[in-house]
Amino acid sequence: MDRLPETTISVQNLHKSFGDLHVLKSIDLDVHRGEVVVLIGSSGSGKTTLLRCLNFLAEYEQGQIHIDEKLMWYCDADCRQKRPTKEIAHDRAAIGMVFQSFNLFPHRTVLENIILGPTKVKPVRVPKPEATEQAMALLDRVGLLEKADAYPNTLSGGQQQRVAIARALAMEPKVMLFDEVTSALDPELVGEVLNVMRQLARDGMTMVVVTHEIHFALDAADKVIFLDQGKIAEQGPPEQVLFHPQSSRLKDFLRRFEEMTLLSWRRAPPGEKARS
Amino acid sequence: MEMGYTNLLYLFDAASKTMMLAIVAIVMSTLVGVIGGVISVLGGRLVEAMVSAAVYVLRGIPILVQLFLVYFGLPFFGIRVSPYTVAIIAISLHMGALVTEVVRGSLLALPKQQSESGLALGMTPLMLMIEVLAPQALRAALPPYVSLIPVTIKATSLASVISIWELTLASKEIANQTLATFEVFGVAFAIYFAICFPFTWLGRRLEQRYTGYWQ
Repeated sequence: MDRLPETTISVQNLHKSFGDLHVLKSIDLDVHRGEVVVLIGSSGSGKTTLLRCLNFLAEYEQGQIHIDEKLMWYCDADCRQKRPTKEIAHDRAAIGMVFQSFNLFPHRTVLENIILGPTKVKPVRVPKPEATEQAMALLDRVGLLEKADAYPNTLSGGQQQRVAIARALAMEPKVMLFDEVTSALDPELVGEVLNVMRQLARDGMTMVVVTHEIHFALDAADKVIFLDQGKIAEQGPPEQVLFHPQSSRLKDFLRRFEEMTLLSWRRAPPGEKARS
Repeated sequence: MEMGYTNLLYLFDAASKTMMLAIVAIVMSTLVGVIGGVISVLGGRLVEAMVSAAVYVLRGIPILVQLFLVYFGLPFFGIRVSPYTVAIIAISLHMGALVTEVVRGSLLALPKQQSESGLALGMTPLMLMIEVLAPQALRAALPPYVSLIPVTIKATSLASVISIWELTLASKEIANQTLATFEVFGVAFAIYFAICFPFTWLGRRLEQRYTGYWQ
């Protein structure tokens, strides 16, 4: 039997700039098989960019990213010899990604959205009847079996996002990347998406999650990473990072979150309220 | 000063030539436009610049001038083709440039996230075009594309200047013979309008039906 590599994602010395703006500065990160890593940080800290570098939706200038011990992207010194687009596409198929804005294909039904990958994109194509069967099982898993023939625009945001998760899972990815997947949702729809993600984590999926849902980090993450100004400022088990923050930046960041939740708003004494 | 029944039949015959010319020109300009639009989106910066330059040039000169340019230009390089071919080349290139803009515009108008989610699934750019972008762009491109069809049909009338016998040239012939200028061109007007109107109308309808992006 093949030995499965322990480290699914390995990032070494990653640098990324948008023009003059140095967004990621020397990121090192290891994600092990079955691990759930949650990235937190204020906007502009580079967490979404880091996620997009992982499946090379964003090009990076320096550093290496290995997924299952395979180098994702390379170019030589003056970038003449780039990695062929086809190879990148091939490797991306093993990395599922779910976006903030769902991005389902509006001209296809829910079922067609899900089977498109396995039947037409996957390096080893799955025959349509088999793909349909798998898709129905996935829809059952995210609780949307009855929506198979609906078009995306008839679904709520939460439902669309669950379909997007099913679509990514249909490719049987080694890793799932979640980019602020609940940020565009109405508050009452956030729970249904997070529940699907929690179940996925329990099933042993390797996940990298960019989120503002601190509760999710607490009960699903193995590791929480706080990114600040393009660097990993703190990392560790969720309780350690979230309950015992070391740096003042993280303390500030977490305090702002507490202030945002209604509960802590109510709990705060009247004097405190007026101040913020 | 009567144009007479035989001459009317003669005009109808010429109208069928106009239709043939228009059909070939529409097919060719669509090919040019789809290829031009797709490669300018997929082909990278250099290809895009080349396509844009060609479009600017073609859009910047009248079809009539292009017609003369091809008509006298090809023999200059020792290439002999029939006036019919010249007309097809000139009209198809000009209209093809307009179709290119329609195709390119409707592809670029798609949300960037659609490309990203396709790429993230592991699609190659070509797959992405076929499975995700083209089907969606088609819907946006259809109304302006259909509105270009009458323009192509009317452009065929210019072919009369290089002695292609079609509706406009035939009308001129009969008008010269019978001197019933107003009646003859009245009939020509009615025929052109009858051919073009359905497309103008269809373009309008499609526009009303397909407005905006899927929500």
